[in-house]
Amino acid sequence: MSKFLFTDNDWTFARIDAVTEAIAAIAAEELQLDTYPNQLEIISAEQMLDAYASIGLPVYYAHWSFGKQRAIESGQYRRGEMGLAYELVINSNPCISYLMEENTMAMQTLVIAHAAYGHNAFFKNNVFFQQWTDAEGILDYLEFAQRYIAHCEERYGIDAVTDVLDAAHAISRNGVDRARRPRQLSAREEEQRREERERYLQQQLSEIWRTLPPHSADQPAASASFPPDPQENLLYFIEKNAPHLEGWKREILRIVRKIAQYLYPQGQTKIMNEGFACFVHYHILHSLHAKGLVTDGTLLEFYASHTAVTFQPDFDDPRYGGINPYALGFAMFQDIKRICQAPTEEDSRWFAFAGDPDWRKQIHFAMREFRDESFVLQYLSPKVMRDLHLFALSNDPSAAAYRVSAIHDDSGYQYLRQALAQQIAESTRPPDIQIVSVDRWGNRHLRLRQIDTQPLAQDEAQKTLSFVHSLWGYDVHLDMEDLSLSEPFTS
Amino acid sequence: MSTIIDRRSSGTRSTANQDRLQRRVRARLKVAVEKMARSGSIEDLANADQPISIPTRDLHEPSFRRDLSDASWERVLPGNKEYQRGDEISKPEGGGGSGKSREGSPDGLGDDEVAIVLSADEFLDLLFDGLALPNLRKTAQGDIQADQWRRAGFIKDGSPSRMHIGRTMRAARARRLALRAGKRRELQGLLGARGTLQEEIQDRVAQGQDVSVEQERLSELDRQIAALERKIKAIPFIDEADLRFAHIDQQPHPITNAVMFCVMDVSGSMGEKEKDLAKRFFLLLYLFVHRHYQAVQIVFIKHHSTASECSEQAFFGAREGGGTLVSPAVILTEEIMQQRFSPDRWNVYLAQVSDGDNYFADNAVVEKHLMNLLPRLRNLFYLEVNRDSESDLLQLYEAIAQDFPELITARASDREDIYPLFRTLFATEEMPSHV
Repeated sequence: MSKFLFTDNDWTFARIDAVTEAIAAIAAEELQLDTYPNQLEIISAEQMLDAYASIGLPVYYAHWSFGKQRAIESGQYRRGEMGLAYELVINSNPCISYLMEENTMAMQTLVIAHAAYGHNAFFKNNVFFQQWTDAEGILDYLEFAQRYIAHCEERYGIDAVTDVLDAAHAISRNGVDRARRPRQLSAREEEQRREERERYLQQQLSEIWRTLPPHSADQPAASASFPPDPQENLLYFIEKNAPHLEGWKREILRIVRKIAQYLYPQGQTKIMNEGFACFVHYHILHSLHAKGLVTDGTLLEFYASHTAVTFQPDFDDPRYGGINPYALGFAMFQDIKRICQAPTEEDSRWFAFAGDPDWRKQIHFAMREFRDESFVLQYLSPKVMRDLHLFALSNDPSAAAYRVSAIHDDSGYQYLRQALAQQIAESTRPPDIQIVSVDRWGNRHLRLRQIDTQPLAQDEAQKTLSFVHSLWGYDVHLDMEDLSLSEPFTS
Repeated sequence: MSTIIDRRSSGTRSTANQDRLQRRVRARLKVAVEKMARSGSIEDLANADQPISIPTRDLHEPSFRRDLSDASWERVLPGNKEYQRGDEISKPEGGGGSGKSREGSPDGLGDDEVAIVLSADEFLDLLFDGLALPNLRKTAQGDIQADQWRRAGFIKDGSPSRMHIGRTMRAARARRLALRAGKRRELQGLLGARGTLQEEIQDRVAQGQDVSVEQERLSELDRQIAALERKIKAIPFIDEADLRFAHIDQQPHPITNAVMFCVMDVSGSMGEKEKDLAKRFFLLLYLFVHRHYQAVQIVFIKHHSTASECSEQAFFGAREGGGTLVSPAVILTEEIMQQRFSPDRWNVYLAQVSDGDNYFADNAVVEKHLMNLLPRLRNLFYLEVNRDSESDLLQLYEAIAQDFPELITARASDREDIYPLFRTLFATEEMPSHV
């Protein structure tokens, strides 16, 4: 009697159940994955488009930008320009994975292995997710956010709420604590604290903005600079210190900030997250086949999808759209396993763990302790660089030509590694703009300064600055390398 | 450990976002809608479901971003084939490096456009923004009624061809069951009694006793049983009282078809502006008429010194020279009505737009034909555009309106006039039906 879990391509709930059980066994025994409980949800294409529009979050407040996103994507989808992802997975406990109803059974198997075990394990174990996000509280918090913003719309009008959200979204990428670990979220606590905050905030602010002459000598000198240190989290600073912002607006800033913070690690670990999930599904599908649980046909269908996802077009290919995180991440995790199992002399020179008999330990360590930038610095091996034919190109704006600064050869490996890590760091980080001073005792002007040196898109910066200004309520200045933008108070 | 949930039935949740998107681009949508109102066909507008494209740059979300087009940068690329360290690759002409990267375009979306689909109501809201749509009358005055045959249950007599077999057999069966039940019960009792009597006879015979009395009672019972069985058999399988006939009845039924004649002067004196006024007027009337009837047909008649039926495009596009005669248009309307839209089967509306120019001797002809035409119309709307003083034609119409309240006249010289005008037209008309 055949042990095949399925032989034709229609999925049923019973089959998904059986496949999930088989995958769970492999994930636990062969890969020793530690995961959140899984919640698999079957959704339609329309619902997948909805989920896209709200960055994959299952519950989200309403805003026109999500409507725009959806209109663009559903247009592209209808015209056949864009395929939908086969799955979407949410960093929550239980871990929610969306499976599209159009998927074949083989595809559902792949998706469950990839999302419900690969991504799930990554969410639960990667140190950045552990420190920066709260999988327990997120669903509750999103519901609180949706309720609260709906309540504000009712009370203050949709347009007023939209204005605040527009402004908050503009600086949401600069609303993340990169160095300090945020507090855990809890919806109930959040609700209570919100009310408290609203009550005391104005009181506290009056203290900061007191304009009456000081009545004792203990008052800080008027010249003392505020804030004492530059602040990188623009949303946080404005929420706490804007002179005349109403309580509900502060709360909305807080919601945008919390969600940006929750999403922050996903951008930091794209290559690792996808690479690890691909590594997991690759192992699981082969193991299912080796055990005789899936047919050769299923394995072939899997190969077709897998190679499509991990395909890296060359830089001169019209399909090229940057480095494919799936391709790079998968290649690197596979290579860690190879370095353990069959190290070459070169590997031994590059990696201390080469030849480690326990490849699982090495994979787990890599998956837990790094983010994309450090992962590349630590693990990008000469072999992967050679396989992908990586090379570095540099641009000097004054020169007539680009220059090849390194290629995949002995003299270039180190350089390439660092260049790629640098590139990843820059693309995942917004320009570093910090609040350096507030003229607290005078005209209340807010001064921002760009700390890094890469040029900003000027008119974008100007528009963004006017959003900052709409929140702050007084003049706002942005000092850059060689010029300065300002947004005076006009309204 | 794993839960599987079927979410497909919970539908999409995009409405709230969609609403907010429309609010956001309301001004632009309004421009687009008004453009459609000028260029689109009247029927398309009334059933508007066309997507309106909004360029994404209108919906751009700014943030602090890098702009590396003129900066020095370094990138790692895959797929090296022949380059060695130190090779130089000339920059594309005038491209500034932006051709090879998508980072330059906001959101990575390029010049995509967002398509927004408006429902008919949303469309009207935008078209009449700032003006509340009036409560159009729910029923037009004195809708034409036509008798229509309708099924009306079942009756006990009728023509054999309308006999309803199912109902008839049902009645017959019920009657048979009812009439037999009592007799059957009685028969059951008699059969029981006969059984006991027979046993008694056998007992007595066995004991050697006399059974003559019992035999007599037995034959009496047999007689009774035979009589009952005969009666049961005599109940007819079908009786005249069982017959049922499907009944049909005549009922008055409103006519739900309407036709709207649009008559417009296309002589040289009617310019773009006048036509725009006319189009809005026709559109509003069409929408009004359309709310009342299942189907509305439109007939376009243009006229200068002669009148002809034409397509909508030709109607609004036409500009023909020559003098103006109104009577040919009225006569043509009459003819078309006679041939294709008999007033006892159609609700006929006539909407006429003119600048009032008419050859003065023609007014008498117009009057004669209107007197003939008006009793068969539901309404005649006459709009005089862009004139400082009332024309002779308008004065004629106003005189006729004294006797025929369904003739409604108005004047307008600006686009903005049309809608309030329309509202007053229907406000006055609303009075009688609500008092």
